[in-house]
Amino acid sequence: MTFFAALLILLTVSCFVAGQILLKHAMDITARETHSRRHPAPIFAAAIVAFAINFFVNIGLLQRFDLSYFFPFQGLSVIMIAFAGAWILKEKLSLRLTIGSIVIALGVILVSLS
Amino acid sequence: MVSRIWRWFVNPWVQLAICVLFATVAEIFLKLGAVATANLASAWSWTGLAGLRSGWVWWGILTSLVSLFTWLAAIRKLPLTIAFPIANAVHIFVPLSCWFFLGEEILPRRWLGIALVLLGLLIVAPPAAKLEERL
Repeated sequence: MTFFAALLILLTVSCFVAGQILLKHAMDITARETHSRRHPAPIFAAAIVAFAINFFVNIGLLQRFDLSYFFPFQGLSVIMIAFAGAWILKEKLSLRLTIGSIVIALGVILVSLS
Repeated sequence: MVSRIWRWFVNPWVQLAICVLFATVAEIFLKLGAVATANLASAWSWTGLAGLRSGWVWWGILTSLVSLFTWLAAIRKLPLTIAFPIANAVHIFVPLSCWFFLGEEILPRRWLGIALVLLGLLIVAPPAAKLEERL
């Protein structure tokens, strides 16, 4: 794998994580019973832009690598999302959830090294 | 009866399961489309835009959309720190589907990785079950 390909994989993962956090934030706003001054539409739009970048770079990568080889790199996002969820969205992250997320990510990394 | 089925369908855990299933199917479709349209000589091929010429990619987009909407329904009720690790069941289903449908090889280390993902899901399952009681 070249440095450029690794950079593109990092870009897809980062865009994926940013998209998930933005989506969850937008859905939290829609789920609130009380009227919120914040509108979820711009947050949805930002999430869609992040996912669109993820999607097309993804196809570019698929044209060069086996799906089962490069897809698991997305799994690094498990740890990133666990911490981003706790830090940005203020969700509860128990020790058990942290360990579970790390084990899942390790499994995913192991798959990606195959 | 219809309302009971509907209540079951809109349950966030059911939506999460549908999301995982369609995400797996989407990746297989996208791989088929990407291979069908691959032109590695072009400098623009990294963008993946050439993939839009393939019908498989459009099926991939459609199934990705189903996966996205079911994911939205799931995270509207579930915390991301629980829903996302569970959604990583795709890392079990995608390699298995690649092996079964695309004939890609799974080496022993990859099998071990799949087993670790499964173990991680089992670790995450009790907090998820506790959440289910509260929903």
